[in-house]
Amino acid sequence: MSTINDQDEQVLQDAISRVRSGDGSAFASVVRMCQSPLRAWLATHSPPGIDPDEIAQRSFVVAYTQLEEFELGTNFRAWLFAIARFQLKTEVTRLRRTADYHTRYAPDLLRRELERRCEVDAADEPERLTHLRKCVDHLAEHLGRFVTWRYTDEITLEEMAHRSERSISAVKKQLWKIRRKLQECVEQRLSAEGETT
Amino acid sequence: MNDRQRFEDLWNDFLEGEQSPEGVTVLQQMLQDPDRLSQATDQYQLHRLLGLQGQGLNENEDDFVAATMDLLPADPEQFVTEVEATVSKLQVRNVIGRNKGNDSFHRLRIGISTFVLTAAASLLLSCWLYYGWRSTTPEIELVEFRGEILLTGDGGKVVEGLAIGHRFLGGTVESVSPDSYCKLRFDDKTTVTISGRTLLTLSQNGQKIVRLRRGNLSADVAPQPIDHPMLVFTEAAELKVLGTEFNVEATTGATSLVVNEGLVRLKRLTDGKQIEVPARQSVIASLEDESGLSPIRREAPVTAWQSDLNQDAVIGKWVSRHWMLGAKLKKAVANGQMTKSAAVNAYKTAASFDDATGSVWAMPSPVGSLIVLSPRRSLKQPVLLNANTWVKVCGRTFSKFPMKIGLSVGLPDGGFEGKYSTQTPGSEMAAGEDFEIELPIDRFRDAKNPSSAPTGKELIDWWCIAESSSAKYEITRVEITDRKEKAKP
Repeated sequence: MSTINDQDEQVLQDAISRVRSGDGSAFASVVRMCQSPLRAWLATHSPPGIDPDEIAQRSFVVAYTQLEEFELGTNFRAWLFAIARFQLKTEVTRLRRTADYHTRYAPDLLRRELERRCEVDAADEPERLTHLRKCVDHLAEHLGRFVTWRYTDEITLEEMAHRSERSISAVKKQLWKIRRKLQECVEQRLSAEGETT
Repeated sequence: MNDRQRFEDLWNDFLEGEQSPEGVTVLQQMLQDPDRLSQATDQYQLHRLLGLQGQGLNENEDDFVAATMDLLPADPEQFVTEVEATVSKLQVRNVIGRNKGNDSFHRLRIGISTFVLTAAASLLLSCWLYYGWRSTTPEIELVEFRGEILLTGDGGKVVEGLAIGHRFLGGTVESVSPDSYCKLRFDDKTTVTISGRTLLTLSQNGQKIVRLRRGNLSADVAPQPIDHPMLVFTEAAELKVLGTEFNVEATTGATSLVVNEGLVRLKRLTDGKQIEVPARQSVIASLEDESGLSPIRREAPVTAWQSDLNQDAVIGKWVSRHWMLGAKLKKAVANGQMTKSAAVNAYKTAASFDDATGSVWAMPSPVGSLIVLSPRRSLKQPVLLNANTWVKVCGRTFSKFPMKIGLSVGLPDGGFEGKYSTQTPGSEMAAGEDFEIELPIDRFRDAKNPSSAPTGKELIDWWCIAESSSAKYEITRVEITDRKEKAKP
């Protein structure tokens, strides 16, 4: 996955033009080109209890129905992300109103912090995801296996403890450390990239 | 344990969905510290990103694109705009042609009145076309529902305050909880009912197309045009229906079809193999199994069922006793309560090739902590409920909380009938201890329709909901017994 380069941008704008000329099926190319960064951004900014893919789909549908309002030649991704931000905000508001939301899902402060980050974070998730992948690849084997077990195989902590011959508490601690390590690695890569550009 | 460790531990539990209500309260206090809040949010975001990456963001791109394209509305406005533009051009050309040779003031006046007239005519035409189009376009009506139902309807709009009688052209309907269901009716009287945790996308642009992403669907389909059969897509199969009654259950990787009336053609998507499934027969199409695909005749119903938890769990995590023993022994060795060789001996003594005993652990969800079991998974015969039916539930809870235990039932000749449930107060549960509850069938009621009863109906699934998603419990056995049958010598 990479950032949208000029050529991709041209393909995207062509697809949008085709949709606006009546070829609805061309919207599939638009979805294909934008889904990955949008889903990644929504996954990291949605509080618990919200399905980010559902918000992504809803955003695409709104973008499709309001495509006439999009100014060709301008940044479609930014426009789409603005729609997604609004959709997410609406859903968060709806969910927040459910009586026991906080006891069921999340500490209120996390939700507020995510809302704050929604406003300030750039839509840089494709880079973040690419960097994360590289950082995971660079993890030592004995650490990388925890990431595979937890996030690809989705096995339970008990099973991870069993496989690694550690206590559950040690596994939890290990996961915390790995995530912190990965976070630092991604941030370093993002800032190094920022400096070179 | 110091404060930092306690915080990390609690936040890990939170990320794993294992937080207790007390834990959330403590976290809320701990997160008042801005550094901690920032750390916790970083961990949360990275956790989500790793999850997305682990589940193959790129690998499921095709599914995501297809599902999104299914949600796009037909575009009446564009159609109206095009007609409007064409009509306007024709009218302007006519008027200008008739007024050739007049003076410029007259031309201007005619031009203005032409513009006004054209605009008014176009507006009227647009309204007529739009509402005419809307009234002739087949719609889908919500005719019945219980529990939490979410509808993303026309134009991708989320329908707030859903009510019976709501009409829409197409969209996505989600039945959120095991105790929720909804019935939808197309204009030709075809009905589609979804129940339990189900996600369904519907459209009918000249042909009814239904995508069952997960869950249970029961349909009673009016005769369809031969060249435009109703299509039902699941992850594992494609069904072509010309007019019949059937039930479908879609899970990850497998689709189970039961035909009650008529004939349904099923295509297994892994190898394209097709079969026709006639009335009172069933078939399972699986992504993993590419062996024979042949329908099985529906057997006579039974009145008793004992859960095979490993196979029956639709929602819930199966954990074998053997595995649990291994984990306990490891912990005992780690804590110095047992030597390694003693643990190995104990493990070997307990080991057997039959690892079928165990329990199902509740899974957190937006509607609470859930377990759903389907007898159809392990039992060939349908389970018929009668006035002598008792439901026995055994398990263990780790805190005191009320539980709702319920049954989804269908009509004996097929089709969804309803949901019946009973509430067990938290005071009856002892934290950390085993429980055993025996419930006569008349304890199960439909709160909104107290006169109806599950007797004489067939069991589709058994479910249990604890209101808090952090409630931890396991179910070790569920049994349906026929006390009269049992009393026979």
